[in-house]
Amino acid sequence: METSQEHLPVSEATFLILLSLAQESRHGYAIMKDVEALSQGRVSLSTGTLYGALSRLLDQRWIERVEDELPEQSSRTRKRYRLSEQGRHVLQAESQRLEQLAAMARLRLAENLS
Amino acid sequence: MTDVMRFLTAVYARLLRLYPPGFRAEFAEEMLAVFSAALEDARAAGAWPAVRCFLRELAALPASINQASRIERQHNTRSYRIHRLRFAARYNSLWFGGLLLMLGLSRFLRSGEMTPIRAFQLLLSLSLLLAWRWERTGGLIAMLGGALLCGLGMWGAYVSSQGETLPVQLLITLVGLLWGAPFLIFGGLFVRARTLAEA
Repeated sequence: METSQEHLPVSEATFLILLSLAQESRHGYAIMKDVEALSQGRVSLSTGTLYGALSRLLDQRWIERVEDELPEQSSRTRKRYRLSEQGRHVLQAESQRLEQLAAMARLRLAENLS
Repeated sequence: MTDVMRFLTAVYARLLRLYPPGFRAEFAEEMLAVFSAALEDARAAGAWPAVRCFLRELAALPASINQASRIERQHNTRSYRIHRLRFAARYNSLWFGGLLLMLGLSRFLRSGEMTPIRAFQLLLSLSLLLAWRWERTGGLIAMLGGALLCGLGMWGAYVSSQGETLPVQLLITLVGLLWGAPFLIFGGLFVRARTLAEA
């Protein structure tokens, strides 16, 4: 049985994409914009990088694809992505890992100052 | 949309052809729509952001094509594994299941007697052949039956080999075990192939 810990650490782009989908499902462009906003403009994904990452995350089953019918163009669908249960576990595990690291760093820095 | 924007979008659409076919079929339409939206938004902020948006795509292209190719290769490797597994399961079950089915039927036709164990064996041989069509169900029936035959075979061999020396007993028990093992193995191959195909 695979555990979330086995997949850690995840890359920053992956973490931000998962984080972007944590609240709600989004389509590709919304993810791109949200990742940029979450990283305060530091991470700007290209379309190719974004879809490469989405493809990998779909393969790993960390995210799922849902299709929205477009009412005005009934033959076309717009794809949205949402976090799967497994993806949520990975995101939680990675957040905890980062928190522990940050706490450790703060502790060491405080020890150094005193 | 201005002519320049239309041109840049057309160039991007051409560049998408550099991606591997499977990836392109799955994502190209979406990627083009996202690129158009990003370009449109960037243009609202001015000409330079629009150019920067296009250049960013260009700069990331080699790495993302490489990543997409790697993903495609992994998909192909998986399809190849499923293909090989399925081939092994079908080829072996055809010989083994078919042979047992013919043997069982010919014995039944000759003697006119259908013992429960023979009927069971015939059913299992049939399930191996049915697994060609219903991989999981056929495979699971063959596996469960195989496990039961292994147990029965070992027990029967153990009982009948009482009084023999230990190595002989072990050998006979092993033969008994082998009685159901092929059903267990080939049934397992079918179930594995189905599980991989669904993954």
